[in-house]
Parts: sequence; structure tokens; C-alpha cells
Amino acid sequence: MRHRFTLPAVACLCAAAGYLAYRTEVAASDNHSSASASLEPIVGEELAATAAAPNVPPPLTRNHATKVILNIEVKEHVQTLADGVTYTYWTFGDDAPGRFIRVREGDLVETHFSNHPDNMFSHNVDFHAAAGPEGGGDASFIAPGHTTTFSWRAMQPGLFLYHCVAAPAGLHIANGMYGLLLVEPKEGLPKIDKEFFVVQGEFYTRGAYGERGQQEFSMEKALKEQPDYVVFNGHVGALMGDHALRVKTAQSVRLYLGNPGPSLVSSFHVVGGIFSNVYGEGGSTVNQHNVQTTVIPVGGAAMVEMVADVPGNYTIVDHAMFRAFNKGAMGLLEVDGAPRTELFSGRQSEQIYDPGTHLQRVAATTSAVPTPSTADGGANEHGKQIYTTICVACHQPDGHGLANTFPPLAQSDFLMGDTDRAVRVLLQGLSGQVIVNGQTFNNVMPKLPLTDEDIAGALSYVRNSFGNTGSVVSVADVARVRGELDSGKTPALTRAGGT
Amino acid sequence: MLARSTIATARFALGLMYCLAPMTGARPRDAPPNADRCATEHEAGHAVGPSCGIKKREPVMIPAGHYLPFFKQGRAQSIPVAEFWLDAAPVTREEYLDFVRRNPAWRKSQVKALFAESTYLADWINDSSPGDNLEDPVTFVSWFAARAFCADRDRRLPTVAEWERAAGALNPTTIGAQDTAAARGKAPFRFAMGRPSADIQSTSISFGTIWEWTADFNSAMALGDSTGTNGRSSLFCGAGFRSNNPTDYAAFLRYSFRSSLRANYTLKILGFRCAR
Repeated sequence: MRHRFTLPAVACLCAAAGYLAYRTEVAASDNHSSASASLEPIVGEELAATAAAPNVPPPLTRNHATKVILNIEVKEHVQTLADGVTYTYWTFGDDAPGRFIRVREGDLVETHFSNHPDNMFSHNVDFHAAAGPEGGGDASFIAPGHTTTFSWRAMQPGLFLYHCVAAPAGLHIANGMYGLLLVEPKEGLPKIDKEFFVVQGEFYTRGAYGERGQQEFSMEKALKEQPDYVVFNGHVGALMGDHALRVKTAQSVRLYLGNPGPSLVSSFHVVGGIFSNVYGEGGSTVNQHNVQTTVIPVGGAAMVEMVADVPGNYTIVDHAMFRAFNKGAMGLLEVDGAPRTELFSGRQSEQIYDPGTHLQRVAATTSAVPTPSTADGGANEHGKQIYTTICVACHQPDGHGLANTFPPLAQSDFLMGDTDRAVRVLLQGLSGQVIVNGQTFNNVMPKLPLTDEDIAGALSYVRNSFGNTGSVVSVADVARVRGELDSGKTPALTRAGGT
Repeated sequence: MLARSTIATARFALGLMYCLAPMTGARPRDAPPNADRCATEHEAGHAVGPSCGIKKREPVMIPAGHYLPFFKQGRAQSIPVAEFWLDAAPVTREEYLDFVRRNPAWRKSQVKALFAESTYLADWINDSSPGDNLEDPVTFVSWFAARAFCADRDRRLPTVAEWERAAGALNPTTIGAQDTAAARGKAPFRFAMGRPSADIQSTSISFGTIWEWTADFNSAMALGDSTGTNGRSSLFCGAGFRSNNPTDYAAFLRYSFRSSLRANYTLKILGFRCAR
């Protein structure tokens, strides 16, 4: 907890000195940053400090304004949007989002903007940090095989988007043309242990989420503002697995957040985390403390700071949850360190709970559920119903799961290899690391309120769907496994190998 | 202001020089029919594939019709377009080779820098060798060069209105629906490069492999010269407001692309065809 309170205090002290100087320069302007009144002399010249997602270049240590040379090359090229799904991205530099750019308040940014000769379209860039017509949109508008130069002064500190604004702007943004630029205040930002950046964006594909192969822009879905993909840092899984953000307990972390949209406002949330400081909408002032979820408007930004004292996995989401679970807006902050049970105990005990009362359930009033049979290859309606109402949320309509998050059922060696184990998973739930088709997953499948008939039906269905062909699971099979577990004949299942 | 007026003067001089430039070389001859060498479908994924799928290269009569300007000029109104003839396909490298043989001033090694950028015919080996793929559309050609080619054949570049009348067909809800899967994979927005209008037989004329020059490419906005800071600003955030159909993304892309051009530009993905 120490950091949560000391951090803002230090920030205030640091900021105060710089802010006094700043106020003197613009004294007459009463909170409006008048450019001409406070122009610092430009001293020297250097290449812009930039970094590829999710990294942020280190703080600038200069105590003067300089000429910053910023090179941006636009590329139209095929990139991976999700596992097995490709899309022709239009990018600033090599990928979407473009590189994080860090300049100092007062810097002169000489922008060299190039459109690759193999590109098909004309492009430009609008720096939200550049106060002038189109943010440079017209000045930078350029045909393929050409380059253009324009300069602007970064007069007002804060976190800003940059994006392509060539017509039709929504299309250019939906294809990946966006990035973040930090105008660091003269006095610098408060010291922090770790910095990352996360940009939320949408992809409108003709195929549904997860449909394999090269996908194309869907004008229809864009007009309805209904993307199939809502992702962090340009790709499904860009912040998962090996790409998860990693910090240690008690380390302070600042996340620079952007949302080019083009349609959806982000309700940015870190599951299990509380933002000690929020620079609302990416402005230069901490305007709120102890925030659970912060809004990133479309075409805007935000900065959040937090400290995790308890080790573990903190999932990063857009709290509009169907975006997180079904459209890709999910990442991971992994916090390493010693347990702090005095702050957070974890599970302490688990017992049977029997209040002695009964709640009416739909299942109790329906007629007998047909038992899956080999005659229909396990394609039973009841099992399908269970799958499409419960299992589908994680394992997805096509049974492919979500890369690095939820394991696939389609052609799954884990599912097909051991029927009794599959029954145990449904009876008890499963948590911890499992290896499915050579891929490692580390997540939780909850224990579900399913009857033996439900389990037999659902398992028979998934074992004979998504290209799977397998034996059906009978109600008797489920009852037998349940009996074995209850009698202690089979040890409870915790991990893949723990059978 | 000084810089603006200098640019304006230079552009005026450029136009004047073009007008005064003598037309050299022999009289035009008709385009050689090379439909036989043309495969029925252009090679999947070829960046600038041959204009195929058509029976003959002869000009096609485009009946009188209407064209709805993409940007409103006052009230939204369609502009009548008189009957005209338009080449069935973009000019090929072979046709352009014939042109430069007879017009040395337009050879790769001799073209005036004012009339074409240094990338003029960049994919040609030398003045007399366009390399392989003779049936491919010629690209890396400037507006000046395209104008001269058409004039050499007693033809001209189509106007934006004519080009859009012939090739601007698009139902915005089915953008790209007719693209083949193979073509989509390489160039997903190729639909913006044109589709024959509904009343023109799609087997008689071919569009959609490259961008094409038009006579008045830089007056799409009807707002002064293309180097100024005012002319294009309506293309950016104000674009939807002034557009007659803000959902026609293909038209947006075409107008956006045209407005980024200057007459001496020579691009890999930009060729032309002639009209009369």
C-alpha cells in the first residue's frame, strides 16, 4: 500500500516546481497554453525516441527543447490478426499500432512521412498533439512512392493519438493506421518503475470471429459499428502468453492507453487491479485516484498507474465483457513475487453447502432427457443445447477456443484421448496448466451445475462435432466416474497430469 | 505567401510548356488487337496483371448517361454525360513501347524532368525493352505522358465524369463481393479501381487492375489547385458531410487517391486508357 500513497505525493512535489516555472511563462494566458508566449529556443537535433508495442521509450532527460526527427513509413501488408486469420493491415511502420513516440514539451517535430511505392493508396497522418489544421493531415497527404516533410511544435503536454485521416478516415483507422505519442511535460512525469502502452482497436471482417484464412474489411459491419474483433495492440493475443506484460509485486506500473476505435468507447479494466492514479483522457494532470475502470474515448487516450502487491495473473479487458471473451479484447499482466496472504488469502477452505431448501430449476420440470446413442453419432440435440448455451462462451462456436486462453475442442488430443478424464473435468472443473495439441494453456474451467445427462450429452456432442469423431458418452459412464470420485477411488483432478 | 505564389507560377509555367510542346512523331495507328495473347483471367495475385477477360481491345461505346458527383456542388445533382468511346482496357506496355519508338521525347532516357518523375517507366529495362508481360498495363507514367500518348492517337484522356460514368458502378453494401478469392488475398481493396456500370456489358470492358489517370484528376473537389492547403481539406474529416454518398467507400478511395496526385507523378499502380 505504501506506493499508492507515496507516488502521488512525489508527483505533486516534482510537478510543483516545474509547474511554477511553466505558469510564469504563460502567466497572461490563464490556463490556455499560448504557444507564442512560451516558445523555447530549439537546441540541437536528434532522432525521435520510439518503441514497438507494448514497450515505451525511457523518459527524456533533456532540460531543453530540441528538433526531433521523426520518420514514419506507411505499409500495406498482410499480417496475422488472430490464430489462422490474416488481414491486409495498413500500418505506420511495421505493425499496428505504430511505434510509441516520446517527445518533450516544446520540441519541434520534423516529420518525414513516406508512402511505400508498393502501396495502393494515398495516406497521411493527423497528430492529435499537433495544434494546426488537420493535425498535419493535409500537409502529410501523399501518394504511393512519395515522401513529404512537415514540422510542428509539441506545445501542450499529454498523451495523444496519431492516426491516418485520409478519406475514408474510418477505413484507414479500421485497417490499423494509429499509434500513440507522448508529449512529456518539461518537468517530466513522476518516476515510475515500469511503463507499457496498450492501444485498443477494432477490425471489421467479412467472416465471423475466428473464421480462418485471409479476411477482408466489411463495410456493412463498419456502418453498423459491429466489429468482429476488438483487440489490444492490433492482434488477438498481442498481450497474452509470451507477450503478457510482466512486473514484480510492489513495482509501480504506468499504462499509456489509446483508443482509435473507430467506433467503440473502451471501458478499460484490469481484473484484480485498482488504478491509484488516472490521468483522465490522457491529459497532463492526475484527476482521479483509486479507480476500477477508466473510459478511453474513441479518438482519445488515458494514462493509469497502479501497483500490484499480490502476485498472480491480472487480466486486462475492455469490461464490455463480450468484447473481452468473444472478440479478443483481452490481455494479461503477470505479477511476480512472494505471496502476501495478509492482503489476499486465496482460497482458504471448501465444503459442501446444503441449506436444506430447494430452488425450482428448469431441468427439473422437463421431460426425460434422451440418452446419446451411437446411432446418431453423438449428434444429440440436448448435448448441442448444453454446448451452445454454456460451453460456447469460452470454447467458441467453432470449437477452436481462443488462442493462448481457452483450449480448442476441435481435433483436441486432450478431449479425445481420455473419456473418463473429460467426464471428470466436467464434474469437477479444471484449473492450472494443461497441454492441448502441444499448446500450453493456464486458465480455469469452473465446476458447472450439470446433471449426468447434461454431461453425457455435451461430451457426446463435442466428441462428434468440429471434425471430431469419437465414441458417445453414456449417462452410465458419467455415473460410474462420479461414483469413483465420490468413493475416493479416483483422486480429484487438478491438472492435466493429475489423473 | 511568397512560396505559394512561386509554386503557382511554376505550375502555370508547367502547364504552358505542355501546351506549347510540339507533338512529334508519326500519325496514330489503331491499337493492335492482342486479345489472343490474353489469358481469360489475370494471374492471381499479380500486382499489375494484364487486362483480361475481354474479347477485344477496341474502344467501347459508352451510351449517354448520368454521373452523380461524389462531392456535392451546391445541391446534389447528377451531371449528364454524352455518349463517348472508351478503350476496353488500359494501355499496355507493348502499345506504349510503340509510342516511345515513334516519339523519342517520351523515352525513358529522354523524358523532361518537368513532365515525369525520376521513376518514369521505372520497371523498364531501357528505352526499347519494357521487360516481360507486354500485355500488362503500362504504369510509372505521368499525366503528361498519358495525355501525349492519347493525343498521338487522336484521342484524349477521359474526364472524371466519363470515367465514373463507365466504371463507378458499385453497390456499397456488396463492396468487393464480386472479387475472386485469389485477387482479394493480394489486393483487398481493388474493387475501388473500378467496375463496369450496370448498363455496360461487363465482358466488353475491363477495369480494376490499376488506378487510371483522368484528364481533370486534380479538380475532383472543384476547389482550386492541388498544392494548396484548402483544396483537399474537405477530403479528411469533412468528407462525409460533403459527400453525396458517404457509404460509397470505393468512390472515397478513388477521389482521395486522385487528389493526392500531381501531373508529373509516376506510380507503380497508376496507368491510363484513352477516350474519344
